[in-house]
Amino acid sequence: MNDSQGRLLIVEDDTALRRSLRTTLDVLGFDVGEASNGEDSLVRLRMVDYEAVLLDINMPGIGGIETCRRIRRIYTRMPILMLTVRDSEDDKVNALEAGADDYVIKPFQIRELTARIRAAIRRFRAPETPAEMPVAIGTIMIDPVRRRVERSGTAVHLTPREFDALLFLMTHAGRPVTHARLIAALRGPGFGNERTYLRVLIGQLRKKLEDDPANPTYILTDSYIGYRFHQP
Amino acid sequence: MKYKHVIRHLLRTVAIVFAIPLLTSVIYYGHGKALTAGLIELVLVMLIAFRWGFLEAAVASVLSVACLDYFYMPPIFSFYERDPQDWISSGIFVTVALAAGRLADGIKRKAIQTEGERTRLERLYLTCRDILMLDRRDEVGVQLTRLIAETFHVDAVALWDAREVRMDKAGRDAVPDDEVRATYFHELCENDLVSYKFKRVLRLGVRPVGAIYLAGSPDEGLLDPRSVDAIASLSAIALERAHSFAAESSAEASKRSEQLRSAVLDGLAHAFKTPLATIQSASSGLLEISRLEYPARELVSLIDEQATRLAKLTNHALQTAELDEGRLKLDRERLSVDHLFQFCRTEALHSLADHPLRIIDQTSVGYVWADARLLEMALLQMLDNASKYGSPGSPITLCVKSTDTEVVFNVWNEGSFVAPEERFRIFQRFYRSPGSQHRAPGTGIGLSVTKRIAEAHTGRVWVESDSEAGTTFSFALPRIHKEA
Repeated sequence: MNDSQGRLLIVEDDTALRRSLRTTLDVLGFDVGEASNGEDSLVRLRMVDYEAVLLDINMPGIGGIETCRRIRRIYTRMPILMLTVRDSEDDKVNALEAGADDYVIKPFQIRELTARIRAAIRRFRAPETPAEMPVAIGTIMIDPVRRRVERSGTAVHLTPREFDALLFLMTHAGRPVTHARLIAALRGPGFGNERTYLRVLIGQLRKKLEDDPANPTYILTDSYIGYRFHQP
Repeated sequence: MKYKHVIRHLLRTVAIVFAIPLLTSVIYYGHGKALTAGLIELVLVMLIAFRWGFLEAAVASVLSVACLDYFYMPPIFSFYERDPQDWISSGIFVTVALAAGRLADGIKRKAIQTEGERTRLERLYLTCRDILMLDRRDEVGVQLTRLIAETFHVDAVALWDAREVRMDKAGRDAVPDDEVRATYFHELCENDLVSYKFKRVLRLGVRPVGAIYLAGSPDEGLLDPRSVDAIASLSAIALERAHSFAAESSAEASKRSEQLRSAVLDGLAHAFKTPLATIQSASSGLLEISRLEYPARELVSLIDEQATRLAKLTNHALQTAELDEGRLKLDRERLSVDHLFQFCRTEALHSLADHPLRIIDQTSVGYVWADARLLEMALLQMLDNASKYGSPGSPITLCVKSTDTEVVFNVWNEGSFVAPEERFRIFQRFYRSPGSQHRAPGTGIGLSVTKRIAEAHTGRVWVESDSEAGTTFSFALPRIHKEA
């Protein structure tokens, strides 16, 4: 199984782009399957044990977002990467809300795309870590049971809200977390202006965890979408 | 004309002088009583007053008293009166006749005046209505002069439109052009009731917009100073209306053409997106999967770079398309200025190239109430513009300050003088200043985006430029006093 980079299903209605992706990813060592629309992709997923789906957001038929929702309903752990365009933040947020793990903006560099696919497949293959296990990424370690955060081995004091936000971001490391999901994870009372509140909260976290809060390396901003904990 | 008038009066007087003695003698020899003769003559005096006027009525009343005295008062056939009572009744008769004559004449005059007013009002009403129905596609001056000439039966009418520098005339008489123009330049308002010529400067509020000249004949009786005033006001309004229609339709046309260009651009950008994605995935894929040798690697890299560049331009075009009127959704929030600065520092880094960026918060603004994404886009655009056109290597300053009513973001760079006549146009979509095509890459969209964003926030943008002090682009948002 591990001789291959992974089994990937490309769902894309544009034949030329599908051909280009298929050829390249094939040579790069992925086992690639193709589907030209959402309905077709659901059939293919049933036939082959794929490890990730690359799904175009704009497709005829049921469309990318609905396809994503249906795939997620059946395959709860299947990594889904959406192909989107830059000028549609709403689409990206909708895709993430529909259960997509990540998105790649068209046009893209193959290097960036393969990095995202590899990360997704790696997460898929990794044994599911129990929720109470400590998570360590780079110099940051978070222990959900003891509610303790360390930076390079030194304890960092976080407020309960900051802790919850960091925990959620770190358990979803490498994936974008929308503002709405982060707010929901904090489960606090309604804030007057949620995004402003999040911005302040993330600002505080960066001050406590980043070397240079103005140029964060861990807690990154996904413009207009949300935040992402960087996974090297 | 005056002469004719006098003749008419004379003829009427002569008629009265013959008619009244004749009438009295007929009544006397027909055995009519003094009372009958008196009453008949009183009625006659009133009729004369009503038909011909007070002068004739006065002559008639004096003559009637004389005739009654001659035929009825003893001694008969003599103007002498013995009884003082007869003196009194004669006096009363004259007084009553004159008073009745006066009243009848007054009523007549009033009626004539009222009739005149009514006609004038009717003409003015007709003019108003017809002015509203002037054909917008045709020259308004031509139509207006023809209309006035027909409605008021004037011999000559001339209209000077100062804005269009245009003279329009109608009517059979010649019009002295210079006099009409002089009326405008000296802002005259003249009534010549002898030769029946009227001149008016046309005003809207206090601003002179043209002049009108009218010449007619008093017989028609349709022109008087007040009517001319009304005609002048109506003409001024008609001219202004025509101008604003013209301005509106040209604005509408340019808006349409911009919409069309945007639509074409958006359509192209959308159509380019997928093929571009394919080219880029293929070129970057080729670079990724094989160890290409020198010439091939170089050429594939070239394809890849240019596809990336084209993709950026396409995205930019699409991004600005969403700022078009009606499609712009504002999602305002309380934004800290520090956050904006931090954003600018990180995001503008690559576009600033070798320009050092200085950021100054002059008045500790703290917060603004705006759509984060749009405001960031506008600021980035201004910084990008400054780095493209500023003198190479010179610093760029982003400065924010608040006034009583606004929060103003200024982006200053050295050089890149913007000529005064271009300062408005550089914010128009697709406009690129004649010298800039070869100086910097661009689509002529960027600054129009800043303008749209400012307007969406009910703010404004402007530029100040000086060949010595450099160029400053300003972006102002209305200040929200009450913090959200």
